Amino acid sequence: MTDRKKDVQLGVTSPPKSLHAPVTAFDPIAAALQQIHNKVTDEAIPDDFMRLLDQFDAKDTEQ
Amino acid sequence: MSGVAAESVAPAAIDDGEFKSQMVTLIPSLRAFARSLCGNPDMADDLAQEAMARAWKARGSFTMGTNFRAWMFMILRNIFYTTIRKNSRMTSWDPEIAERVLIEPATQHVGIELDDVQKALNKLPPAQREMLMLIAAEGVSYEEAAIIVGCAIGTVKSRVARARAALVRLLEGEDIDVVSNRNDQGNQRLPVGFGFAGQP
Repeated sequence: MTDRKKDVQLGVTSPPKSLHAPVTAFDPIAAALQQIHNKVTDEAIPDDFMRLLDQFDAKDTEQ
Repeated sequence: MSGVAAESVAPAAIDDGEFKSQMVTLIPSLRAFARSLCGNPDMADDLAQEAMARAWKARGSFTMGTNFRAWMFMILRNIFYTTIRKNSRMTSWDPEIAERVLIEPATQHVGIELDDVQKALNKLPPAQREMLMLIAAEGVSYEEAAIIVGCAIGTVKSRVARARAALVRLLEGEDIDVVSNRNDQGNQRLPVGFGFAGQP
């Protein structure tokens, strides 16, 4: 058995790093802005965009 | 000059497939950035598509390995500001009408606080709004934002601080005269009749 496994069994390992992470204050404005942004990025991409990308190829082929 | 030396100096051109792939990945962010600039979802999508079309035409000038997102965002905001400058010469700006154009329809189901933030955000000049959305929402660094907007990092920081302060004041119910508060380049509000790609 490795030392690390022994330590885990004996419960002598240090707590996860996340517990030591500094607690940052919740910023409601930043959170709201992120939600507004995510609301758009989570939307399905309209078909127009894919059609536009197809047009790029078509125009290149014509040229 | 030897062929090897010439190759090492010339910037690597991006492959069309790779270019398109990066563009597709960026579409959600482009739409979000466009919407933060002009507020109206349909116009924002037109703006994003116009930016994609122009980027595709200019893809030869993009150097692989450089910041694709910053390059695309620069194109998008250039189209936006060029269009509103052009349109502002043709139409007079009416804050009340513009406000109705800018604010999302009330039928959209969003939390009340989020709705308040959205409305307050729409009252900010685009130059402040774009900074907030780039830094706080899109997660762009100050350095990248400076490249996109074409200003110094210090200007980005102060613009973000001003935008945030203005947003807080608006959320607290203060009526900020955003029109007279234009001291950044490109602070024009969306004029009436604003549109892209053949729209009036």
